[in-house]
Amino acid sequence: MSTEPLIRFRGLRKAFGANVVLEDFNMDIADGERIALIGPSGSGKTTVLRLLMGLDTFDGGEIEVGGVPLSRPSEQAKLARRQIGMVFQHFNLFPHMTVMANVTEAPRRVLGLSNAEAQARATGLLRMVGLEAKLNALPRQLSGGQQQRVAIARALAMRPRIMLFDEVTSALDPELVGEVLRVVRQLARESGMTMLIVTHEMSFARDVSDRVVFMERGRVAEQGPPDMIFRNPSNERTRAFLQAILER
Amino acid sequence: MTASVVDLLPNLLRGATVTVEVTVAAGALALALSLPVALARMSPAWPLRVIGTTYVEVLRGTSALVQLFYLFFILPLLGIRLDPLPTAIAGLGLNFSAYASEIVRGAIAGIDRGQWEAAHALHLSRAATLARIVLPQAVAVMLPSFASLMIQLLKSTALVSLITLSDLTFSGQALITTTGRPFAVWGLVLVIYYVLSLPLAWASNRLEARATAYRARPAGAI
Repeated sequence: MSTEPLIRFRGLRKAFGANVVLEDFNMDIADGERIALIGPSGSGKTTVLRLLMGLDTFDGGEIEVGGVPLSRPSEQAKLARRQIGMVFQHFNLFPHMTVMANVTEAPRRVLGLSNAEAQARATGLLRMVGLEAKLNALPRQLSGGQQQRVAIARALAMRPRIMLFDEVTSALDPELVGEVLRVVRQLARESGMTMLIVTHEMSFARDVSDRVVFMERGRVAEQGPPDMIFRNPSNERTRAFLQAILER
Repeated sequence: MTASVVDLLPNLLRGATVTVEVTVAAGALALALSLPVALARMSPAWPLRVIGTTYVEVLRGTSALVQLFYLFFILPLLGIRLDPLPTAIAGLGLNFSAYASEIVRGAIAGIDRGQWEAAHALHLSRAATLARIVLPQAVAVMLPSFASLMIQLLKSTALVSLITLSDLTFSGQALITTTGRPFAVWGLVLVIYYVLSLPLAWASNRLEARATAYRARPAGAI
């Protein structure tokens, strides 16, 4: 039982028109595992997250969450997906709502929490990300780093078992990256959630993950423990990619 | 013998109230229809898209006057008889709902895809996403266009004088027949139409300012 993977990608295929983004993509993820997905842009990292979240449909293969296949829409698939939360590169906060309303909206509407319950949960999460003083602010009034921390709190308010982080610091000014990575690191340390993290921050990928997956041209090119991938990559492409990043 | 401007006004104002009635009622009908029609056009289900698109294309592509004539003169031949006022409201309301639905559709389509995706990632239903996330933002975009559409509707109500409704234009024509003073009468009619449009313009400015308040960054942000 416990060896059964929580998430399983099997022969996954996705094309946008003639552009094949994923081709025979396979990966198993254990419950509680933290995966860093790295690789050149266009290698399909973000697409893996989007297909898992259901933001795009896949053309072939299968994704299973807790043994439930997601390829065909069903009530089961819907419930399986409900265990997943996602944080986006561009935050995507709801601009017409306060920070508090951003975080309480889905727990109230989807989970049926009362206003008081949802607010209590939101207050706790916003304290955790260091924004308890901004409950009534609008997204426009916050820095990018603050907005992204609200977005993390908003996703966590649904109590997901699986969290997807899609280049969550790529749109931030350099001096704001640290405050967001700190929150993700803390989650990785303390939460026990299963996490899939797409990132270009290599040192972050290294110390946040149990396993680093290097993707290229829509497949897994190499994977292993962070120390192995970063110290001694066996794949020539991985080596070239890491070299290029480190020389930046 | 020659009537003063003051003597002309009561007749014209009686006509103006009919004009306002038609504008308000037809405008309300157009706005009420605009959202379902826009949603039909954007639906993932193709039959709905076909129905919505046909609706808009037919109503936009044919003359509003002919549509009014059709309702007023042709329907009775089929046994459906409507009074001039309901005919005017239905005719202009349907016609303007096509334009209004395009405003709604454009505003919804203009909302960042990331908003839909964030809502999806929070497992909000499509209906909840529309009602709570997308429409509140889209309305801010729609309001100025709606206001100018309503001003256009106000002026288009002159068409209803041709199906025997005693609106402002109709009253003007009648007055000219009895007074023989086209210059004064049409001048007054112009002024009254303009004055009637002023509250619409004012309301649109106010609503726009309010609906977009969340975008403005107040000095000394919290």
